[in-house]
Amino acid sequence: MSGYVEGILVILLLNVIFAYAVYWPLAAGQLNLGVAGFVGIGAYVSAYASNEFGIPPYIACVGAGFVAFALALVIAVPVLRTKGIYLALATFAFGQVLQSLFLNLEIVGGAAGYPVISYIGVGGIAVCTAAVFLITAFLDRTRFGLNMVAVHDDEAVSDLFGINVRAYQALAFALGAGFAGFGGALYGHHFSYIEPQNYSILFSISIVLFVLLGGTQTVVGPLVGAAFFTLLPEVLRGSEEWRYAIFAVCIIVIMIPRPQGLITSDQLSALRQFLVRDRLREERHG
Amino acid sequence: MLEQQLINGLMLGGIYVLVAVAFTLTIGILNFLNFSIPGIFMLSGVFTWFLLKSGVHWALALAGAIAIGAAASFVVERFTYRWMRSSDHYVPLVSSMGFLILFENLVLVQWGSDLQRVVTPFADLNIRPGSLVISIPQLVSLVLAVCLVAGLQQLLQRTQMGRALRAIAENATTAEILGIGVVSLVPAVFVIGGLFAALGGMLFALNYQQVHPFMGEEVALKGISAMVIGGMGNVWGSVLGGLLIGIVEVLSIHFLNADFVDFTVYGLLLLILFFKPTGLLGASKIVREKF
Amino acid sequence: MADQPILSLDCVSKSFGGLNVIKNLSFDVRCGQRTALIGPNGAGKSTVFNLISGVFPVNSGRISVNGNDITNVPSRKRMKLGVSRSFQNIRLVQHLSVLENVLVGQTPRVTSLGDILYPIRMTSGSHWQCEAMEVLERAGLAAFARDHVGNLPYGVQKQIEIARALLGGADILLLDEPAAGLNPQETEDLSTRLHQIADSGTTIVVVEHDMQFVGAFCEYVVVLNFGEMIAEGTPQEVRRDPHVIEAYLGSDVA
Ligand SMILES: Nc1ncnc2c1ncn2[C@@H]1O[C@H](COP(=O)(O)OP(=O)(O)OP(=O)(O)O)[C@@H](O)[C@H]1O
Ligand SMILES: [Mg+2]
Repeated sequence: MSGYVEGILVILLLNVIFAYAVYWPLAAGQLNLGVAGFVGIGAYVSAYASNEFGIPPYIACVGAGFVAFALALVIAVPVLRTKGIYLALATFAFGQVLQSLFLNLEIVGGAAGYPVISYIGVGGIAVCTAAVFLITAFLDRTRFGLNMVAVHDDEAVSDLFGINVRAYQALAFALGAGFAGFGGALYGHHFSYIEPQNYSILFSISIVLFVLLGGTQTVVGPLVGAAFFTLLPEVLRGSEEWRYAIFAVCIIVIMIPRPQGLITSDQLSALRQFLVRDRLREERHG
Repeated sequence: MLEQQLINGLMLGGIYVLVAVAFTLTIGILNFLNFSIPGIFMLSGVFTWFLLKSGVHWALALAGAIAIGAAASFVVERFTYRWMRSSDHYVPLVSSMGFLILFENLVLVQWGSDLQRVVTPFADLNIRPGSLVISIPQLVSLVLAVCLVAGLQQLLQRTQMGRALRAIAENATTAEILGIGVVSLVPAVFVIGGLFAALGGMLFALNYQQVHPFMGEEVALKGISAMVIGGMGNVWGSVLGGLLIGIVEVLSIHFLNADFVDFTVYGLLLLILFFKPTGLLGASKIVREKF
Repeated sequence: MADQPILSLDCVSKSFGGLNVIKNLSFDVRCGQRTALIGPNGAGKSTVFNLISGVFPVNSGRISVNGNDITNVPSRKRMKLGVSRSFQNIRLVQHLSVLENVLVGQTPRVTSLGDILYPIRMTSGSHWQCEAMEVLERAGLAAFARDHVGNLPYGVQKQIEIARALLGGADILLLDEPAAGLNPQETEDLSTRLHQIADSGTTIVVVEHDMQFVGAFCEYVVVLNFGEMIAEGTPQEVRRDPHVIEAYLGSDVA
């Protein structure tokens, strides 16, 4: 694999993890604009753990994911008192606060950044991304996923049917944060250097952008969004300086006919039915 | 010197006020967090620089910069809100972010990413009461910002159009049934919001004498915070929030250091959201629970 | 035992911003008795259901189910204690299929983590799914099981709501205008279906405007007007009651 291809692949894999970090809160109707902060938490916690205590990199990364998860559960208590746009803005503010904490935390290098000694290669990241995807896809097929859709669509009815709405919302938020922290930890261990500037609101916004572009009604949507967002600019590399402008135009043009994103659940169930019908036909003929 | 810092904070706050009002209009009336606003702010700032540099008369240059911002906002409406009115509240956000990226990259392609120095005819106009220095353009901007907000308030309260806009804010579908021309009024909201954002960008370029393709982002984030702190959808709240943030910002620099600005400003925003989400002056009723 | 009220309201009052919507309302529903709650528009019937299921807290009074006081039990736990309901305006989960909506109805009985993390949407053999399919079959809805609810006819959606409410395992089913918007044939089917449900031991309380349906289906009727009970008794008794005639037809007639 050439260095160029490998570089793109790593970014793609990490973007897929970040996509699911944003997907889970959105599945419960929350727009998390502070996801970059959780990515940063994961990056710094894992880097500090492996640098200072010699914890093996994978354990450090998974552990950092759990730290982000736990922090999110705590912060979910006040955050979930807000709703809709207020919630989005609260997460935004929280992300900004975290970023400025990183900037001022001299113990991890402050504005100068922080080197990460141990290294995780593309293969390891691929396995981790697959794990994140499979966990998400699996959870989506369980009652947990089912109830999450119910909570997203109608909180009052979900509550009457015995679903603990607050708990589901908090879990969705924290699960996303956990994935964000995990992805951030992998990022740090691959690129061997982390700095506060990475964890800005623009990073959060771009993740949200490609997840919504892919569509949040199905678990495949974020994957498609991440691939689109990572690969299209590379495809457009020929027109070097215009590529982000062209990319932006693509986003705007796609959203007009497909405001629910590229992949919707209607589409998927139509596809499923189409496949089932094909199979039935084969059975009948065979 | 603290007094000087406070004055600087107020002046900076004046810019935030304009951006906050731009945000509060689309949120309050259309329930739409319009992320193209930083792009419009930047477009107008960059065009102020470019037109002045090209030797256009300053009055024309300033009018041109604002017109370009308003026109850009009009284009944004054509391609975003119009198509996604009935979707989840965060859907139009995506295309508006698309426009932010588009505007920034168009400017980048044309003029590069360097910081450009704005040569303005008013650079050295100051008044000096005592040991303080007050830049006249900045003072004019601040007064202008407050006057425009007062004008906007009048427009919303007293005119036919204002009443129609408030009806749309209450419930766009009902307004449509009642025969209010929603389709023609929505672009007006965008243009007015665009005017405020563009004015902010232009004044920023004149007062701080530098522009670059990404200048809108930081200012816009402060503008959003100002809007929330004052009370979403409440125009006077934006004024209070904007000035407050300007002051908090310079005071953080004065007493702590520049790296702490985000911590105090966004920490304040977070506290407000947790404990008084309707903001200091109370969100206007036009911001609905529906979000 | 049959005389023991399964649901009982005791001096329940509720007001919304100064407007007294329910005033000192008391009535009992006996176990197995098919009961109707009727009254003119705005009488407060849906509000009574909302109070029983806990959508709003009461201002005063007591509500008990199976002898347990549920007045202060959070709404989320009331289905476990025995009350389930449907809604006047259809409230199905639009992004789920018919079967999945019905599966959501089982939630009050799902307690183990294993059940929550079982990939129920991927397999079809679990007892939860068999049970849900069975209920759909009995309601004649099996053909729609995999369809998205959003695209189905109104009458079908109303039936899905009943199937969902039934699967919570509650003893009392509160149905808010189940026959509204149905054609005569559908109403008849509904009546048959509700008889089946009642015969299997579930106590049904309906809010209904269709008096023919009430007369045919219900054994006991409670009449509300302006949040107060103005009459109760068998459908025949209630129909003759002067207060009821006045409430429905205006005071000139009475
Ligand atoms: N959440 C609420 N907030 C304020 N007022 C309410 C609320 N819910 C109901 N009301 C009021 O309570 C009164 C009774 O309403 P309710 O829906 O219970 O009537 P109903 O008997 O079910 O009528 P219908 O036959 O039309 O369904 C009405 O005046 C209604 O406006
Ligand atoms: Mg009703």
